[in-house]
Amino acid sequence: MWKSIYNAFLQMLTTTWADFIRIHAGCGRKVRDTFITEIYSTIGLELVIITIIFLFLYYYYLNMRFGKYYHKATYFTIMIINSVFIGIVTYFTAKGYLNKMICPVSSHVIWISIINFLYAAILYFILSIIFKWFSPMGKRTPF
Amino acid sequence: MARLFVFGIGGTGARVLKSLVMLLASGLRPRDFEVIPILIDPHKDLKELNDCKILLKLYSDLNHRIYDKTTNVEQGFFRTTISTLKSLAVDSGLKDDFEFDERQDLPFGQFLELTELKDNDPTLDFVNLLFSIENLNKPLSVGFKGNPNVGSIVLNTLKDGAGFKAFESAFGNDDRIFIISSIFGGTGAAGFPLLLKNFRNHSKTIIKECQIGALTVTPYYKLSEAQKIKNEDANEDQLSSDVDSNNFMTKTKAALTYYIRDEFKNLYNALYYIGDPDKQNKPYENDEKNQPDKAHYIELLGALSVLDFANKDFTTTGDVFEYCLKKENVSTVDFTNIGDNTREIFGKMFVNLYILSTINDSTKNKPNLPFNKTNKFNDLYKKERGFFDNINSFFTAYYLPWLNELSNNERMFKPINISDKPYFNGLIKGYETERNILEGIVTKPFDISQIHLEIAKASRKKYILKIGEANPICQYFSLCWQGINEVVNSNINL
Repeated sequence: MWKSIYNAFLQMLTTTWADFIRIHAGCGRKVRDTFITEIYSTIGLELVIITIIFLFLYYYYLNMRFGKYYHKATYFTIMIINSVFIGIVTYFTAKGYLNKMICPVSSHVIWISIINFLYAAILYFILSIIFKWFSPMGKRTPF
Repeated sequence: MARLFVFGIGGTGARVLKSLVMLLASGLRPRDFEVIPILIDPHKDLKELNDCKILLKLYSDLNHRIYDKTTNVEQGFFRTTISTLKSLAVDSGLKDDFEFDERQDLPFGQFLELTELKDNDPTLDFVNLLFSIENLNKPLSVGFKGNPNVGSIVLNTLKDGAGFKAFESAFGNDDRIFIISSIFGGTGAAGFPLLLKNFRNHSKTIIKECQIGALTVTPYYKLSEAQKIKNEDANEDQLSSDVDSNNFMTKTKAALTYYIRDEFKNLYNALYYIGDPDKQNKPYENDEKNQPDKAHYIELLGALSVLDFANKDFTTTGDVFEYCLKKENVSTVDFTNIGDNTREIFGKMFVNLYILSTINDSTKNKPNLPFNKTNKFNDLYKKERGFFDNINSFFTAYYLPWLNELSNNERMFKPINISDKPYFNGLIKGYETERNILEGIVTKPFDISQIHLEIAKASRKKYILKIGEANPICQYFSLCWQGINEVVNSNINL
């Protein structure tokens, strides 16, 4: 399912794969297949693992060992750092898969990084609803 | 619950009781005794006496409010119950909550009803042998002014008063008596032996045979020399004060010759001596009316004797205890040079109470703290505003000034470096710890935030939640107790 979510969002922000393949007849199909079969699954996994690590860091290190990080400001700061980090990792992951392609893929790589940046924020928020219950100082953060 | 009736006689009695209140507020306990403080002082207008009464009432109210409906909390701030004698004997006719004796405004001569005697009555000659004209003309409302010969006559009437009757009716099995007095003044020196005799000669067996302890404070301060002032009425010079501290030691020695007699030793189970005759360079102001003397560490250590007595069982009479400093004759006493046992008994709790005084406001003013939200403490702070104002008043009007006085007196008792810093690394003199740049990121800091963390951890414990169901104020104080203890124990090895 997550592949569909990535795919739909990416096509909405760039071009549809049909148009891309039509314009770049030589390598368009290969780019699309690389995204669908390899990039989406890898960056999805990175998204989940990195977000969980950041949530552990926030709820079970900072808010279990120290008493001053329970404020929303710290929560959102960690959320942004997590998203930026995931965005950067996504960029290099996608670029790594597509570096031998002769088609212009820069806009797709940038947009998929931005999409994962946003998904990171959403996932961070959703998972924090579960994580927070077991953290003494983070129990009421973000709400 | 057995009761410990603590008699504070004279100015020193009131001052030691004040220190005792601070120790009890810190969580030190006289076993499971309920403390019944009783004040005896003819100087009813003395600020120190009235402050002590207000403080006792404040503590008593705080204790009742915190531990109301919760009997299973064994330790905590303000844990020991202080009740008034009046509340134990409602129909006794006792006018004041804590005072045993009633106001006497008459001059001593009128109190003795000398005006009833004829001018040539030989009794007058006998009275004049025992008392000076000044003694007979001084109103009793300002106390006995260092004259135990006056005090012993006036205080002997106590046994017929409403206070004594209230005490008799309230005294029960396993109850104990502790008497605090000075040996070098008038009220305490006269009152202590009299009370002791009255208790041991009492007709009720439970009073006669109960365990009795006493603290006798020997000289620990000096007074400035009295000034000569002109008495316009008599057209002659007179001294501004009748009390001369140069006589303190002579009076002490005289009284001690009586205290060490076997017939006196048999009256008490434990007698604690404390004093400090040689370390005051700057004398107190010789103002009998106001006695604006600062709190002194001797009064604090003296208060520990009440706890020592309560925590021991005495089967014999005549046990004597003496307090002293560890080894050095220092001008500033702190936890490095106080006796090891003394430090172990009250060091940590003394620090804990200071920390409570600093975190109380900051905890209330942070509504986003998780335990404030989860336990609905934010609502509690609003709903129980009067109670939290009283806590604040205890700290700002009594505790902090008392601490400040201790650290500005001679000898100085200054174990805490009082500051506005939000961290506690330099809090305890001689036990300072270094801060490092990774504090709060890698290593745990020693600050308010760590106490909040420990409170948050403790707030999930089942027994704390159970306390909260019965009394949320008790829950709040139990959490503060847990949090502060945890952080202090892990950072300071006192």
